[in-house]
Amino acid sequence: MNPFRDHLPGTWTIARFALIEALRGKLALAVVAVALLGLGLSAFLGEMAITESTRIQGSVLAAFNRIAAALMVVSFVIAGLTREQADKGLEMLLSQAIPRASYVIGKLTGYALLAWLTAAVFSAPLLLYAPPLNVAAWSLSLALELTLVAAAALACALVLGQSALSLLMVVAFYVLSRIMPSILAITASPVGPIDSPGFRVMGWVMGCIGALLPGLDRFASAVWLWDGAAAWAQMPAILLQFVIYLPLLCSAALFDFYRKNL
Amino acid sequence: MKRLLPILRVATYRDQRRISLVPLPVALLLACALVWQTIWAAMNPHPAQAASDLALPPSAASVQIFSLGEPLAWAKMANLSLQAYDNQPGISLPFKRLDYSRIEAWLARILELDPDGQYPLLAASRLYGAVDDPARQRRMLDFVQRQFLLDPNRRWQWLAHAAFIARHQLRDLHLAVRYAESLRLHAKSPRVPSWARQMEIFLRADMNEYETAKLLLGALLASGEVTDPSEYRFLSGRLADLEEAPGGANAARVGRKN
Repeated sequence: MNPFRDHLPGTWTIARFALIEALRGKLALAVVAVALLGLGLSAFLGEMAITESTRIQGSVLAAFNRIAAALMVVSFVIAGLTREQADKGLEMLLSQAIPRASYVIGKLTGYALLAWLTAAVFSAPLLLYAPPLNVAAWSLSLALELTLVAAAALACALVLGQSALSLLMVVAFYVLSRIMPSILAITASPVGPIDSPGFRVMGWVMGCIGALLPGLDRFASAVWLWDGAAAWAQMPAILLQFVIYLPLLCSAALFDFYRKNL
Repeated sequence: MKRLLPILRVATYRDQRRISLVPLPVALLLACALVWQTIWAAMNPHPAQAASDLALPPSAASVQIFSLGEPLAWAKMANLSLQAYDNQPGISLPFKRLDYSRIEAWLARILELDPDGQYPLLAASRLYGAVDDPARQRRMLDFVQRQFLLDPNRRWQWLAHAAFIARHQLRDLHLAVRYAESLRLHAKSPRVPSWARQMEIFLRADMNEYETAKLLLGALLASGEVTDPSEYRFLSGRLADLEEAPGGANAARVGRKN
C-alpha cells in the first residue's frame, strides 16, 4: 500500500478545483486586463522615446508585468485560502478521508499551475519587443518565481489565517527577496558606521535574513530580453534555487498545518 | 483586552496540536530544506557585476509620479542608494572613479526634493569632498557653497567645513577666504555660532591681509554681536595684536593661533 498513490486522485482534485476557482473567479480576465494595461503603458512610453523605443517598451513592460503577476497571484492565493478557512470549507474537506498533506500539496499544485498560466499570459506581449528564445528564458524564470511566491502565500495564509496580515507578510517577503543584495551591500559598505555594534548587529541580522530568503533578484531580469545567453547561463542556478526553496516553503506550510487545531 | 484575544491567538499559537503529530518525513524535509537553503546561500555569493554607470537623476516631476506623491521618502532613499552606489553588489568603486558631475546632479536633486535634509551636504563635504583629487574636491566644495546660498542659516556648517578643507587640504587660502566671507555675509541667524562668522578674519590674517582683518574684527566687536565677555576679551586681544604690528611678529601670531 502506497499512501501517496492512494491519495493522488484526491490531491489532484484539490489542485484542479483551486485552478477552476481561479478561472471562474475572473482572475483570468483580470490577468489579461492587467497585461493589456501594461502593453498600453509601454506603447505610450515608446511613443515618447526618441531612440531605443523597443528596449524602453520591453524593459518597462517586463518590470511592470513581473510585479503585477506576483501581486495578482499572491492576492488570489491568500484571498482563496482565507475565504475557505472562514467558510469552514477547509474543515469540510478535511472531514473526508484526505490527509492534510494532500490538501497542502493539492492546493500548491493548483496554484503552481495558475502561476505558470499567469507567467505565460504576462510573457506573451514581450514577444512584440524581444526574440522568442530570450522571452522563453524570461518566461520560464517568471513562472518559477511566481510558483515560489504562490507557495509563500500558501504558507502564510495557512499559518496566519488572516488575509491582511498574510498579504503584508508575503509582500515583505517578495520585496526583501528582490532587494536583499542591495541591503547587504549597504551593510558591508565602508561608508557606513562599520565599527558601531548596532551596525554590526544589523548587518549580521540582515545576513541571516538574506540566507533564509530565495535570491529572487536573479530571476526574470528585464536585461535578459536582449541578452539571451546570460539568461540561459543563469538558468541552472535559478532552477537549483527553486528546487531548494519550494520544498522549504512546502514543508514549512505542512509543519504548521499538521500542528493546527482545526 | 478581550477583543484583542482573537488577534493575539495568531501569535501565541495556543490552539496548536502536539509537535509529535507532525509526520516525521515533513519535519525531516523542513530541516533538510533549511540546511540546503542556508548552504546554498552561503556557497552562492551574489554575482560580481561590472560597475554600472551612475545614471542622471530623474526629474522632480518624475519623482513625484513614481514615488506616488512622496518625494521626501524618495529623497531619503536616494541618499542611501547614492551612498551605496560605490558598493555595487560584488564590487567596490573608489571615489576617484565616480562621475562627479552625476553625483552632483543627484545631490542637487535630493536637496531640491528635501530642502531641509542635511544628508546630501554632509555627503558632498565629508564623503565625496574627502577624495584625494583636488579637482573633484573643488567641485564638491563649490556645490556646497551654491547650496549654502540657497539656505544659509541652515547649511552654514557645511560651508564652514568647506572652508576648512580649502584651507588645510587644498591649501588654497583664497578659496577658504571666499567661503568664509560668504559665511559672514549670508549666515545671519543667531543660531550660527560666532566662530563661523569670525573665520574670515583669521583666514585673512593668515593671508597677510591685516588691514581687512582689522576692519572686520573691529566691525564685529562694534556690532554688539559678541555678547560673551570671554569671547569679547579674546577678540579684543587679537585686534590689539593686529593693530600693534601689522605684518610683524604679533600679526603672524594671530594667524598661527587660528
